[in-house]
This record gives sequence, C-alpha cells and structure tokens, in this order.
Amino acid sequence: MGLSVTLSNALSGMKIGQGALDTLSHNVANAGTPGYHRRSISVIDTLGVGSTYAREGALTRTFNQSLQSHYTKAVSDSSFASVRSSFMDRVQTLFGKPGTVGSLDSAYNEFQTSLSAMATSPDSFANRADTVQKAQVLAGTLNRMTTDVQSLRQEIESKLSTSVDDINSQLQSMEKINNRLADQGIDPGSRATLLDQRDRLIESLSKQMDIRVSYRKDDTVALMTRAGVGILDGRASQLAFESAGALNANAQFNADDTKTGVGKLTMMTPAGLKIDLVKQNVLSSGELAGLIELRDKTLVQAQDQLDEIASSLSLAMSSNTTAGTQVTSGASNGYVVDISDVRNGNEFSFKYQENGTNKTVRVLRVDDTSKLPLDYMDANGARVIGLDFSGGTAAVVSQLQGKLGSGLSVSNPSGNNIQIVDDGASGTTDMMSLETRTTSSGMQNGSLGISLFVDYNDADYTNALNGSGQKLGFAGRINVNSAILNDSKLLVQYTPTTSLGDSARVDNIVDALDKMRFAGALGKTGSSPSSRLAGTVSDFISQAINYQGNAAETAISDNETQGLTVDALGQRLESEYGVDVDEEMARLMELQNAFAANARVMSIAQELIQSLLQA
Amino acid sequence: MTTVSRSMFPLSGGIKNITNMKESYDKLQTQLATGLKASNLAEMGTDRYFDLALRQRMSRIDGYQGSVKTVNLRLEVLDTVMSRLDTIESDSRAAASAGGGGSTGANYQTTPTMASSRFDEVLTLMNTDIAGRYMFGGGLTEAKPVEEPYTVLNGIGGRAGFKQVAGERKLADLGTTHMGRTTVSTTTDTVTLAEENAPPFGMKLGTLSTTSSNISITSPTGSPQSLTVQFGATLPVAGEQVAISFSLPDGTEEQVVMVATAGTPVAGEFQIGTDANTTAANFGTALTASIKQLAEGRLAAASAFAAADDFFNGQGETSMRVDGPPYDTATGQIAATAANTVLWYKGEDSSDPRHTITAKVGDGTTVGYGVQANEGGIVNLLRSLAAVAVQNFPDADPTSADRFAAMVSRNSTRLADTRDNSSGSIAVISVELGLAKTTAGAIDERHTAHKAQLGNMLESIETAPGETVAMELLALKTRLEASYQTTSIISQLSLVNYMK
Repeated sequence: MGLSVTLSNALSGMKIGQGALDTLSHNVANAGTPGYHRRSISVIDTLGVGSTYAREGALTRTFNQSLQSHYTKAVSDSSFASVRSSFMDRVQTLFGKPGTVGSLDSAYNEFQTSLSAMATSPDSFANRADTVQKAQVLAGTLNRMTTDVQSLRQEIESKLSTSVDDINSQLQSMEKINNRLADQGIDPGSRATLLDQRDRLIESLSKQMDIRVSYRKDDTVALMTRAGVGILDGRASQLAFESAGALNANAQFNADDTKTGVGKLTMMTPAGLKIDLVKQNVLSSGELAGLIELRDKTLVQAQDQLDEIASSLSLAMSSNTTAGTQVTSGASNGYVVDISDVRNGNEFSFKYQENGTNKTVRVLRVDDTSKLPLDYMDANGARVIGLDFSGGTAAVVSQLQGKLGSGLSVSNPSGNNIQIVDDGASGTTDMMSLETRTTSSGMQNGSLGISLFVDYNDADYTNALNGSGQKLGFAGRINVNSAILNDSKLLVQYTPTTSLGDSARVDNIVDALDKMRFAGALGKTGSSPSSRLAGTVSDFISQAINYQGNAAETAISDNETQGLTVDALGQRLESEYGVDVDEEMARLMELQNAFAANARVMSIAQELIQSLLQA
Repeated sequence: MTTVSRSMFPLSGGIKNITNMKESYDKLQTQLATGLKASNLAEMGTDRYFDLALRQRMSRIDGYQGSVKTVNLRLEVLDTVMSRLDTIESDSRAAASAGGGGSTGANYQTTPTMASSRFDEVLTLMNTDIAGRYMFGGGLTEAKPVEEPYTVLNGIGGRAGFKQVAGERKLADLGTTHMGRTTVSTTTDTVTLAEENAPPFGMKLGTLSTTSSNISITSPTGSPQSLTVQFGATLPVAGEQVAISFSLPDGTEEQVVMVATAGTPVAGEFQIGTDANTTAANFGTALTASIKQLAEGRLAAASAFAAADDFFNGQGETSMRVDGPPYDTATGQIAATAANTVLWYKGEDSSDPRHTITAKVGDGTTVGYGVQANEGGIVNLLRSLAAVAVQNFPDADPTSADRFAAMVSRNSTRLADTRDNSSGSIAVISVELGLAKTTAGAIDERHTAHKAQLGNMLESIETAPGETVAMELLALKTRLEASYQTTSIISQLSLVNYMK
C-alpha cells in the first residue's frame, strides 16, 4: 500500500465518474427521444496488484421482455380497433344522423309523405312530380351510399398496398439490424442504440400485423404471426399485394382465386413458400387484419343491407299480391291459386298450422338451377324453398310435395293452378292462406303494382337469383323508371283509360309500404344473423341505420378501450425505460461530489508526495 | 430509414388527461351551441332506434295531416256548393204556385227564365274545380263532369240538346192528332177509346167508371188497351157521368170526366141525343175534345218531365230519346249516343259515389268524399229546372194556362222536402260529407295531440338541456384550470431548476 495506490484509486474513481457522466449525459440528452431505453453503468470493485480499485462494468440497457410482449400485443389490437373505428366512423356519417338532410331515413320519410299527398290528389301534376322527385332523391341516396361504401373499400385496397410496402421495408431493416446484432464485437453503446431501433421496428410492425417476437440470447429476434407463421427468422419474408383495380359491390372475396374480385395479399417466406394471408386466415389483429375485415366483411355487410333496402323498396312498389281461393276436397280444406304470373325470383307463399304451430312457407321461383337446392329459414322465421319452374306446374307440384312431406297435399287441378290442401279429418295440419306475390310487367296492364324503382335500362327488378343474384349491388343501380320520369301519370293510371282521380294504384303502394313484410336473405359473406333485416321497408331502413350506428359505436368505444390499454402500458414502459431527469440530476450531483472528492484525494496525495520529496 | 413512432413513450399522463378534457370541453360546447346531445349516429347510443321510430311516426302523421288539410279544403268547397244547391232547390220549389199564372200572365214569362238561369247555375256549380280538380265527377276529376248549360239545352254541332229531345218527345207523346196517342171511334151505339201501339208514349188507359146504369162500359183490356162505352135504349139522364183515368208518361194520373147534359154541352159535357146512336156520336165528339185538351195541356207538361227524366240520366241509367223520325208516330225509344245527343254527364258513374274519392287520414281511417252530379237529388233538381226552362207560355196559346198549372204542380211535387230522405238527395249528400268532415277533424285532432307527444319524446331524447350542459361546462372548466395550474407547477418542479 502506498501513495501511488491512493493516486491510482483516485484516478480510477475519476475515470469511472467520467464514464458515468458520459452515460448520464446521453440519458439526459435522449430524455425525450421516443423508444430510448435508459442506460446505466455498473461499477466493479476490482482487486488489483496490491490494491483494489473501481472500474467500469458493462453498459446496461433497461429492458423487460414480458412487458414488451404485452405491449406488442396491445399495439396490434389497438391498431386493429383504431382502423376499424376510423372507417366505421365514416360509414355512420354516410348513413347520416336520423332526420338530417341527406340521411337515408329522411329521404324515405319524405318519399312516403309525398306518396300520401299524391294519394289524396293523384290528379295534381305538382304532387305527382313531387313524388317522382322524392323517389329520385331516395334512389340517389342509395346510389350515393353504395358509391361511398365501395370507395371506402377501394381506399382500403390502396391503404393495404402502401402498408405492404411499409412492412416490407421495415422487415428489411429488421433483417439488417439482426445481422449487426449477431456480431458480438460491436461496441456496447452502439449495441444499445441498435436495440432501441429494433424495439421501435417491432412496435411499428406490430401496428400493421399481429406478431409474436422471440428474443434470442444474442439479442436478435425472430418474428412470427400469432398463428405461428414465420415472418422473419434470419431472413425476412416478402409481402405482396396484387390490387384488383376498381371495386364494386360485386367484387367480393372468394377462396377460389378465379372468382375472387378483390386484391390478393400474399407473403413469400425466405424458403420460397407463398402463403395467401387472407385465404389462410393468417392475420388476426393489427391494421392489415382490420382493413381486410372491413373490406371483406363489415363493408360488404353494409352493402348487403343497402341492397336489401333497395330490393324491398322496389318490390313493395312492383308486387301484386293475389290471394288464393278457398277449396274443399273431401274433408280437406285448402286454397288454389294461379302461378302463371310468378316470374323468376317471385314467389308464392302459404301459411298453415301444424300441431297448433303456425308455419309459413315461401316458394321461390329459381331459374338458375345451380342455386338449387335452396331451403332455409328467413329472418321472419319463414321457410324458404327454391324450386325450378321450368318443368311446368306439375313439376313444381311434385317438387314441392317432396319438400313438404305428407302433412299437406299439393296438386295441379287445372292449367297453372296450384292447390294445397291440409290433411282433413286427422286435423294435424290446417291450411290458413295461399297467395302469390308477383312483379308487375308493363305499366298499364291493369295490375296495381308498378315498377317505379328499376334496375339498369329500366329492367324490372324481380330479385332473381341468377348468377350472383339481382339483389347484389342493386342499391347502386336502383333508379326511377324512365317511363315514369317521362309521364308521371303512369303512377296513377293502371290502365290507359284510368281516371287521374283514381287513387287505387297510389293507395296500393302506400299500403304495401306500410304492410308488406320482407325478410333479408342469407348474406353472401359472413352476414351475422343480427345484421339480417326483417319487416317492412321502413323497418329495414331503421334496422340498417341502427345496426350501422351500433357497429360504429362499438368500434369507436372498442378503440378507446384499446387505446387506454396501450396508454397504460406506455406509462409502464416510460417508468421502466424512460429517463427521469430528476434522478439523473441527483446522480450528476453525486458524481460531481465523487469527482471532486477523488480530485481532492489526488491533490492531497500529491501534497503528501511533495512534502515527502521536499523533506 | 425507419419510422419513429411517437407512441412508444407517449405524452405524460397529465398532459394526456388535459387533452381528453379539452376534447370533452369542445363536445360540451357543441352541445350547448346546437342544443343536441349527439352529433352523429354512434353518439346516439341506445336512443337510436327509438329516435328513428319516432321520426318515422311523425313523418307519417305529417303525411296524414297534409291529407286532412287537402280533404278539408275540398269538403269546404263541396259544402258551399251543396248549400247553394239546397237554396236553389227551395227557391225553385217556391218560385211558382199552381194557378199562379198571374192576372197579367207575368209569371208565364218569368218562370221559365228563372228556371233557365237556375239550371245554368246548377250545372256551373257541378263544374266547380279546385286547382283543376273537378269535384262532381266522382273519381273522374280531370275533366268537367257536365256539359255547359247552353249546350245541354240547345245542343251543339249536330248533337241534340234537351230542347230538341223534349220537342221530339212532345211530338211522340201527343201524336199526329194531339190525342195523346189514343183514338176515339164510334160505331153505332158504342164509343171505343183505344191506345196506339206506342208503349212508352202518350196516355195510357187507367180506370173507367160511370155513375149511370144505362151506360155499359168495358174496362180497358188487351194490348194495346182499349175500352168501350156503350149506350143502350134507355138513355142516360143529365148529370150522369163517365170517368176515364189516364196515366201520363211522367207517372202522374189524370182523369177525364164526361157529364151528360140535355142542353148545349160545354167542355167536359156531352149532349144526350135522341137515341143510343146519336148519344154515342155526341159522346165520341165530346170525348175527343176533352182528350185533346188534356193532351195539349197536362200531357204536354208530363211529356216535358218524362223527357227530362230520360235525358238527364241518373246513376246507372242510360240517356234515352225517341226513336225517330218520324216522331209523332214513333213507337219506341233508343239509347242516346254521344254522336247524336249531348250527354250531359261525363263523370264516373258509381253506385257508391262517396267511395269514388277516398283519402287515408289515419292508419286505419279512410274518409270517402266523392260526389257525382248524377246523384238522385242533383239530377232531380236539374230535371225539374230543365223541364220548366224549355217551356214557353204565350198568352195567345189557349193551352198555356193548363200547361203552366201542370208544370208548376209537378215542379213542386218533385222538389218537395219529403224527398230529402231518399238516398242521393241533396240533404243526404250534405250529411254524408259533413260526417266525412267530422271524421277527418277528429282524426286530425288526435294526430296533433299524438304528434305533440312524439315531439316531446323526441326532444327529451335528442336535446341536451342547456342548464345541465352549462353546469357540466362549468365543472369541467374548473377541473381543466386546476389541471393546467398543477401541470405548470409540477413542470417547474425539476431538480434542474434548483441546481447551481
């Protein structure tokens, strides 16, 4: 032990102080840098040759892996909720607040009021013109909403495309960082900076897609989706998005690549394996998953509902309901009705009681036999049976009898008449009614229904199921029959000689809007039962607005909840990793004192040595 | 090379809370400014469906109320017209009284003129329209339901008007000899009175009676009918009489009484001759004169009314006219066609006129308020007015007094109040329209009350009460200020500030 030891001890103390000041100043300088993790230096008491002195230990970067994993997951979920919320917010604006100008319910209510005025004065040109104009506004509103919904989907496609580019560049960066981290020779300061960068990238990626991170011993990471598909392990996968061009209501996702109408999102793994992320259902959270869900489900559902509204509106105007006449056959009672006017997509329906339970059966005419067999329960609880009418009434009878079983007997007494009678004396079944609902053809054939709202080129809307079905995207095509635009008298005159004062046709329309009930068909893609509409046209509109409003509300509040989770975790991250300036300052004072003390020790030691040398 | 995220180390909790509070502050301000709780669909929350249902119901009621308003306007116009018709009817009834030819014969001239102008007015009223919608044609509202008065009376462009049709009818009823399509023939001691074979026209034999036991009579028999009066060897005594009743084309009954006299006979008397044959000859001559007088007087009046009944066809009827020419020997009627006759009514012809126009004024309430100009009361009024209007009673014409009396008595019978009970009478139409108005009024009151309730409910759902919002704003302001203050103080509390 000697003065030289004292000196070297003081020197080592000063050295440590300097190193610590370095780190401290770095911490303070980066106090506001996002993603910066507080660093610290450990001091080691070392036993030297005949002395002990302090030396700098490793540079430690604060890091808590479980907290980090938790955060990564929360960020994915939050982005998923956030993208949904921002799009749903736009969908709800599109439907409009009830009663405001341009909202769907206002347009419909105004149309109905104008019909009511027209029913009182069918001979007034002004009233008829008003009705026609309100009908145009209503059709226009549905068209506009369709365009808006579809342009939202279009926007999602381009967003997907940019997201994919982002992800790819981030994955590339990640791969580079991994490579550098694997190099053990790198200096500790740079390593800490690289680690910060790594964590930022992970956070950024987790926003886009749901990822699970495995932290390796050498600080490199491997990324995979929650479902377990590898995204980056050593080398990065490459995502690709093939846009489908302009989207419309008919462009929907289909697992069959030849039938799909939307952009394709794929991932090419380093091993050369190509995975369709949508088809394989790989993504469950993050912005990408949110976008895809919006594009393929939520917005498609909104479109479905618009189509249902357009469809019911058109059918309420154009349908003629013909009740069957009562017949008795032995002890059996029933009805007979002529089905020759039943067009493709039209139906005849009957109600009966079986063991005291009321049942309704709707028989649809389906010309596209690829849609058969068709047998389901609609949203009103009626059984829907699709039948091929091409074989004539006798064939319809035998098909229907086959579907119904023995409780009711179906027959073809004459011509195109169809007769359904109950089981008579045994009393298990009781026929209650039988009617056809057919679409008017022509404007003045004497039937009260009128094709006011038609498809492209003034084609009658019959809700035929051919191809993808006439209903799909009808809200975008619905328009007011140009014959009626040219001559509003057609709204009143159901024959060429009907008096303009005759309100029968208008009354029929008003009645149909009030009373005719519809039931949403099974949605094409993922329509949940709660999104299926049932009731009158105005019920449809209310239900759709309510459903979309509710969906938006849920999405927005979900986003808020997820946001709070992320915030809370963020606070935790900050307290764990963040720089506390007060703490650093306190340490600064400590270091200052220590440095001064060491310097003092050195100067005393020097004085002592000088005294020794002068003595 | 990288996107630096701002979310990894977010703003400190305090600042974040301040931002949130600021957002709430803005929202409250919007609420205060608009008075509305929610500014979009999502914010409406569970009230959404309720709100939609209320709005839809209110819009429905608006529609109904619009209808009630229109219906009320129309009913008021109809009411005015109907009360005017009622006035015209009673005025026409009082206009002339039997025997009221007046000493100067002034009424002879004025009565037809007055009737003509009332006829004009009634037809003009029937063409009443509101903004191009005609009210008296049932469901046919786009065209005038009746022809112009002048056209109806005088015809146009080769189509016969009522004057011509009535003239033809008069010819047909009176016949070539003005005997009302009957013939009197005397063979030895027997006088035969026979109808011509012209079923719709002229006078038809009714009952035959005599007070004399010396005259043997044969009541009308056969088809066409004929009757005989036979004088026996014992001649009738003066004062004994033979009465023959006739039914006229308009359904009235008239009687001819022939009284035997020994002296020079005046009208309505026959001289008792020297034997049966001369008495029969005298009877025949006197009967001929009496029938001729009846025909030219009362039959002519009856003919005018019959012509009016046929020309002004009522509900479910066809306008008929004499099948001719020649008219004075015509034996039947044919349906008038639009090509040869002015068909006065062109509106809808329904057996239930009230339901030709209906308006839905409530979910389950429909009021019917259609009126047709061819309903019983109105047609009846028109027929009487037209029949009188086409007459003229020249002083020089010996038949004038008779015809005038006959016209006037028929006129007052036809327009009597006792007919008010029959369906389609002016009184019944007025009552039925009044009922429609009452129904619409009651429904409207209910709508107004219901709408007010709905409005209140909607308001309670949608409105953000000013006081509450203001209080919330105040509380939030205090909190926000406190937070700003605290945050500012805390941010000063850094060790950095205390180091020398």
